[in-house]
Amino acid sequence: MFESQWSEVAGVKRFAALYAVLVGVPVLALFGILRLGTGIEPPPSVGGTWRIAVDASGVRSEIPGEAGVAAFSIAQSGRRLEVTVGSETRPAGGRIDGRRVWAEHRRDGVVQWRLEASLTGADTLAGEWKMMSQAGVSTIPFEARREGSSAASSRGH
Amino acid sequence: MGLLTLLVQIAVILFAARAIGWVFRRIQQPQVMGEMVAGILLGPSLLGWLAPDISASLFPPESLGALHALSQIGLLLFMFLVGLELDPALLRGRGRAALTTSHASIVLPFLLGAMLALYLYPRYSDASVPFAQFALFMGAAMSITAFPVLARILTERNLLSTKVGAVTIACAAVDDVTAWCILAGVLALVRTGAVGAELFMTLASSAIYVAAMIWGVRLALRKLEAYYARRGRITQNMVALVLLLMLASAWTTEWLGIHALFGAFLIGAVMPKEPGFVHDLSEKMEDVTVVLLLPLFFAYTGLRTRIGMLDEAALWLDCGLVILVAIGGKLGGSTAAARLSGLSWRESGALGILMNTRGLMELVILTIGLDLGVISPVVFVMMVLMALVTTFMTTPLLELVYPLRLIRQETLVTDEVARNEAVLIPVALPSFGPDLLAAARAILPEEGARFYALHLLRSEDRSIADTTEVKPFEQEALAPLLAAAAATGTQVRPLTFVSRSFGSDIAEVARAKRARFILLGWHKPVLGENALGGPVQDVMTLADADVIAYVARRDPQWSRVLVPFAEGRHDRAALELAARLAGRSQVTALHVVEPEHGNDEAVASERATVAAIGNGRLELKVVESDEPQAAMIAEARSGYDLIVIGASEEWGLEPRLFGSRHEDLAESTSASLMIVRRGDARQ
Repeated sequence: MFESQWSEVAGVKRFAALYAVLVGVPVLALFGILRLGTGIEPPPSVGGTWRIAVDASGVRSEIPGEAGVAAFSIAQSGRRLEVTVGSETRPAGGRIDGRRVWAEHRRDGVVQWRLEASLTGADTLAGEWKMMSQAGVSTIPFEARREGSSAASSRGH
Repeated sequence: MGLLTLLVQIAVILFAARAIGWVFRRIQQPQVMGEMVAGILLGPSLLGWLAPDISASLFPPESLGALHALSQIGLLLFMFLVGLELDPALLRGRGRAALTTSHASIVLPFLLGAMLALYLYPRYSDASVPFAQFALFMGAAMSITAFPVLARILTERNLLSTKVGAVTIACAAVDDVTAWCILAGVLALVRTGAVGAELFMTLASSAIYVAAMIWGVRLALRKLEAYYARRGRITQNMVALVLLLMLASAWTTEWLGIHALFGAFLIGAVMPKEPGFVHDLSEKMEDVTVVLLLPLFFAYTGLRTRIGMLDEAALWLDCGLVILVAIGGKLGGSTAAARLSGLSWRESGALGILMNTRGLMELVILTIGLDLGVISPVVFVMMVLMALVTTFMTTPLLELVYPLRLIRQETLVTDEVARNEAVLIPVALPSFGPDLLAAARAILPEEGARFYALHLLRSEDRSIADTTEVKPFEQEALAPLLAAAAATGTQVRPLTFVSRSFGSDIAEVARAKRARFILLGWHKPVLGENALGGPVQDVMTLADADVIAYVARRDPQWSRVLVPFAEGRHDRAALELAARLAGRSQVTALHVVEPEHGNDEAVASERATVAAIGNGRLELKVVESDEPQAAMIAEARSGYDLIVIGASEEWGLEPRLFGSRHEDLAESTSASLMIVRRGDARQ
């Protein structure tokens, strides 16, 4: 009788110790990780749909893609960007370094256009589209504003 | 144009899902694995990469809204079914081992997922997502287990009756509920933006809603169960009511700020758990959900998964790291916890492998994360690949650690020492069961003979997350046989389980039960040649025991039995079988010789063999003929009740092919027929 009670107590103690090690310690460690992570600085957010607010040249239809296109979208994965303009089926690859945004669209290995811009605010982007053609390079300055807010839901994935 | 496009999209997706699902089933993978892969292949990872124009015309961006809506409806129904088939009994009273293992199998991968977030966050996230949200989401995504896939694997391998199966299913159920609760918390955090009053309100109102469902709605739903008991079936009005409740619950949780899927899961979980009700309701809703709507979800997920995004070696290395962490956390964590809790290494390994299955549930969570912007497209692709890898590896790894042979031995050879002879009676058509039993009793009339009645279920005929071994209605196939056994005082042990391969499973059970004979019904003309050929042929090929294919035409009080006999092991098996009947029947062994060889040494040898096997009780009849088959058929037509014949070429019967010649033989006589093939163990 006494032995079985002792064995039950030992079993409960072992279970408690095991539970503490396998469950309790990791939960505590999780809080540590969450605290540690707050110091990490990720790249600025540029993901989402950007509507061209001001076309400095006044010729918005020259923006690549369909004529008259007034918006483009950026899908962001850290510093890697994918910029989709109009009905292009394959997005242009790009990067963000600091607050500078860069993307380049190629077709059959030939550069079609290049985007160079800077984040001027949380939701504003200003820069240039460089259109490549056999005639040469034409540069179109622009400003764009992100639709919605810069919160996660506006990342436009 | 919109409807036409949608119809074509659905047709293409459905075809791809079934075709690739079939291929994956052929390599012993769950159907859902193939459907997931089909979705990926229809997206930019393959179709869009190889044929961008076709892809663009098949899935134009403006058409995806309808596909998305249908896929979300499919997910809601699926989550409802997962909740419906979740047995609350699995969540309690499973002992300390299950408690520690289930909690550790969540916490350890969660911790590793959060640790991985420290590395991934600066590389693949951005400032719009706070670290805590990213880390908690990664933790939740790493700790999920695909309960439906896991339940299906356990059922298909008949692991549910083993210790490891019981612990695993309990752990998976706890995991499922816990992970969804954690996810609901994370989603509340994401949507409210930060820890504060709004988050507190969301969590508090969600907790109140859950409590109201468990203690209020669940009790109210008992009326539904009572109504079902009165009507004996699920009516269309009941289905409509259940769907309305599901939509209302989904709407509420979405409105509360967690997610609509949580509400669908919750209402399913609080539905009445009476097995017949759950089965009938699942049956009503499952086919459209699983066959039609879920593949749309896979396709929609696939359209958003562009594996080509991983276009640098560093990205693939990081993807490998994600997969390693996922496996290390879930498989390693669960295995270690199970081992420390007292399971053997083999059992712990099997549990860890099973818990590592992410499957569809991972895709559901990842889609939510991508929609909310918590994870980026690249992380989404990496995690989708992780889900595919962890799901794919489950079956082969499990076979390595816990082979089917071992499971069969553990689950089947538990009762008696096989001193007495046994006959295994696989029953396909319930009405044929009594005839088979009568024949089996005639073959083994002695006291102590063992009779096993086996009914196999197709795995695809069971529900998505069915965790029970076999339900009463699934044993109905054996009911006529068991009733006949009760009437004659014969002890029969019923066996029913889910099978992927009828032929090999029948052979395996016979082996485990050390059966002397396998007695199969040949239901001609109910089943045609092709329908019968597969399983019977497989059994004939794979069994160690002697296999008897029986065509019952007369009452088994056979007064005259004919056994054509030439050389060969199958004929010898037939002769031995016929000799067993000689006590109650007049048995004639027919030997056909070429003309003018009726008295040579060979005949003398056959005579001696018949005398030895029949112990003097068999009559030998020698017929001279150039055509043994014709001679045998002519003799068979002369008033015999039963023909016992070896599956040998002498009689035009290919031992390994069950086909038209057998049917011709069956048609040539009105007697009952037993075609016997010697098992490999008795060469």
